[in-house]
Amino acid sequence: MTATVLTQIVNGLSLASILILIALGLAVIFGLLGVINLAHADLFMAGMYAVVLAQGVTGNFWFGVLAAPLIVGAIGFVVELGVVRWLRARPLDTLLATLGVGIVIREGVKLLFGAGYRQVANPLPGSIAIGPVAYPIYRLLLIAVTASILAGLAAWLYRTAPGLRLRAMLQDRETAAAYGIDPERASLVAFVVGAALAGLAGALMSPLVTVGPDVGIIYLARAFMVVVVGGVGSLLGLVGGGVIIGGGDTLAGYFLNPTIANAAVLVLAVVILRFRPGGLFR
Amino acid sequence: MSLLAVDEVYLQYGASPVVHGVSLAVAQGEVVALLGRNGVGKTTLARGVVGLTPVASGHIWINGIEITGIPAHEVARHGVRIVPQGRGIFPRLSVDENLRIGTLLNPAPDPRIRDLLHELFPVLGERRRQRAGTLSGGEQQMLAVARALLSAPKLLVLDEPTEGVAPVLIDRIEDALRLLFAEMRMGVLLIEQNLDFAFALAQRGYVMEKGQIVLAAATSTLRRDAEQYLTF
Amino acid sequence: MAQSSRQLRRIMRATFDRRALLRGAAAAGAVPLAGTFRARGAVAQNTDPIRVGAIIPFTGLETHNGLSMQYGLEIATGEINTAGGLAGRQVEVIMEDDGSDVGRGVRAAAKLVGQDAVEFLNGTLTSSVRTAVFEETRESQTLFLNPTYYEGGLCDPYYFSSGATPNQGIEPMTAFAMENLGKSFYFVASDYIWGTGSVAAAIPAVEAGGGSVVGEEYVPFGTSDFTAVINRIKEAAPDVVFPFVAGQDGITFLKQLSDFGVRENVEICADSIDELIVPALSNEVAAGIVNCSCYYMMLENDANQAFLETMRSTYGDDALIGSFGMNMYNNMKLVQAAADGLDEWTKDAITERLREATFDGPSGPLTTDPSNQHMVQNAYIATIQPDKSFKLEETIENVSPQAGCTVP
Repeated sequence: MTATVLTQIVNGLSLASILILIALGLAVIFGLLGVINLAHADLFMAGMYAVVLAQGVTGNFWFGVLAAPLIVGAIGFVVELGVVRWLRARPLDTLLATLGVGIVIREGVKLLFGAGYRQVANPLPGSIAIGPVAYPIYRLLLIAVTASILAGLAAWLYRTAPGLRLRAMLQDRETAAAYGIDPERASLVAFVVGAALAGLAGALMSPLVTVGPDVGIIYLARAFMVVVVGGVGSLLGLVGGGVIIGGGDTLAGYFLNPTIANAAVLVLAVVILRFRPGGLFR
Repeated sequence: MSLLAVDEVYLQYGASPVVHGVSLAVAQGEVVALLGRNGVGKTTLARGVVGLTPVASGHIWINGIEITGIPAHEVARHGVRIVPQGRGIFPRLSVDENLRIGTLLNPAPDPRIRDLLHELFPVLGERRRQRAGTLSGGEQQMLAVARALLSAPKLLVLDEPTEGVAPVLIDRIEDALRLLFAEMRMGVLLIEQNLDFAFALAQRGYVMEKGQIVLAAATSTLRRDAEQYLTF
Repeated sequence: MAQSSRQLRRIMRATFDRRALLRGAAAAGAVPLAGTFRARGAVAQNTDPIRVGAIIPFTGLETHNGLSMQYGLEIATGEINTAGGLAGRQVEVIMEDDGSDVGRGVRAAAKLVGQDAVEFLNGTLTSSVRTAVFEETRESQTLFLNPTYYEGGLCDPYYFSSGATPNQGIEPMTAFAMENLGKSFYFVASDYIWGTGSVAAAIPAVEAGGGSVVGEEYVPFGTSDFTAVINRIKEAAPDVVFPFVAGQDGITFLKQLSDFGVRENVEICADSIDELIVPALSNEVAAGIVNCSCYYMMLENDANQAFLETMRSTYGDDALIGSFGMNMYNNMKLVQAAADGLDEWTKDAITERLREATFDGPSGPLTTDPSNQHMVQNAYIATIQPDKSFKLEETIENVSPQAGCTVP
């Protein structure tokens, strides 16, 4: 009995950390720029291919994890300068444009790497015993890594000058500009950081899932759910959304068959949004 | 050479012209009032000076350097600050963080000014961890002024600092500003509807009507002649 | 540095499937791509090319199969045109992407049949697309050849399938597994017609063979975390897990089974893991999986060697093909066999002859079973080796298709 409960708790934590990781870049860009970045899924996917590439060159997975945020951040840099910047005042256009950017990234990956699936082996196979339960090492590591990324992001946003600039710009673009904050530059920084986080998430997730050009789409809906349920614009909301959706999924998955569990979590999200349209932690 | 020189500036709000060929000047250490009824173009002119509203034609100089047409964040690097109408504090940042925005441009503020601000506006120290949005109107105004002054401005544009502030606090703000202006010797362009407040601080002033300057004079003259333009 | 950039280039080159494809298309001048040429001249009535409509998932869930299906289709078309075409007419292929999506599949079929007036359709991969297209072709009496193994149940005078029926894939696999791996089974399937239909076929096969089913589970498309399912598998402790999980979800499932240490005690058998899939799996995950399929690239016969040679010289050494791609080829070659000696192409003449068509190709001998118009064909059981190569364990020859229906 304790073993089962413990397993479910670790499962819930693991799933929540994965969801938070996946939603992080989306939440940053949405929260700081008000841009719903539909290319998020494909930036996430590009992070996986960065690992495929780096692993192919160096033979080392961890090198890929380092390379992914750089490569995908660079893509974000180009996308912000080339597309998002010009459409900021028009949310619907931004939505469509980022959707288009996503398609371009996806087709680009197909062109460079082919449409077939790619392999990223688990760099840390094996399990660790937590009391009576053996759990995959890599998933446990992921919980810790997600927590560290969150802590790092929070420190950056709340403890550094660039973070302060971004938060000021988010609240009042004009006054921020009048105090020497270049809003264009701050927007660029926010978008690049969001993209880099998407890439990092993709890299870290690549050993767990299937690496293919269309893999991102699967995660987009989940990432949105986490962001929306938690509430846009705060890291706490993101964590809350991840824990609720991840925990809900684990709980439902334990008692129900997967299809119904999936639907049940969706219903949970709808119910939450019915009573708290701004999200739970807003 | 003036600290601020505005020469034949035209500004538009959207498609409609608001400011028609305004020229004015502010010297270092001088407090200049800009008076006028609601909607005559004072705020648009202030925004034009700090780069938030694009100048349609005309020129603006700071210390002889033309700043016409450059974006607000670059104007700020020339020492121009605004305390915008409605105060422009960042409501979801803490009081402390709002002040830090000021020091982004001036990483090592003069400790004397820091102490003086602390003395004049003790409430900002008491509530430093509180969200700025939870302060009262007068306290928010103090915060906006303190933030601007911490950034060591050469030219300070104050857009209606008494608007929505309780009368008891207006006097305190007036006293504080007088002290600070004397201490810091920057140029000040003070936009006001509260004439007593403006006349108490300014050495001279301009009166605007329908987007143009209709009167420029020393405070003593303005006290006498401005009435006809400023009855509300 | 020089070495690593060389390495980089090699990796990049290895991945430039599309470029290889374009190269290949240019090299094989005989392969007409969609719309490259149309009827020229009207000297005689029968010189117009025969148009073939291909429905292939180039995007979506089954993206990774798209190119392989195109290879098979184009190689067959090239061979047919070089040999003089079908009933004296050249073949022109029009390919449509179904995006692995029912709606797009149906629109593609309607466009090919209505607008392009193709003589027959070859393709479809996911069962949902196939079933929807089947409804259309039955209505419009269009000749439709299916390349994909599936749950069965589709029969129509104008429908033929080289894709295996459950008894040609699932039943040989369960039989082999019960003999060699263990008797208790756990089924995990995608929650749609192929998954549910396959489990429905597998359960009686296991029970008839004296085995037991300790669990069956259906997961929605886009499942990316199988933790809950894997926990239940651990609790049920089966001898064998037999997944029918489609597309990338299936690969994710295999990876996570290994991560959670299930593979230490449990064997995996399958009917969907071929040489196209294994590049996505690490050696540890792939090794030991037993699979039943009607085609592998490793089959040792002359026709297969010749085919692979053509494929590699046309599309590059890294080109891969699985059973779907091979059956795109087989379908075309069956039509060629049926058209052999025919003076004039008519739908009914070719359909009549397809009912008796045979073709002995890379996947072994194919013969139409006239009762349901699926193919009598070989089933091959293979084990994946530690280096991810496939080792043939057993060939079950000439298995008659049990489609679960007969042609009316």
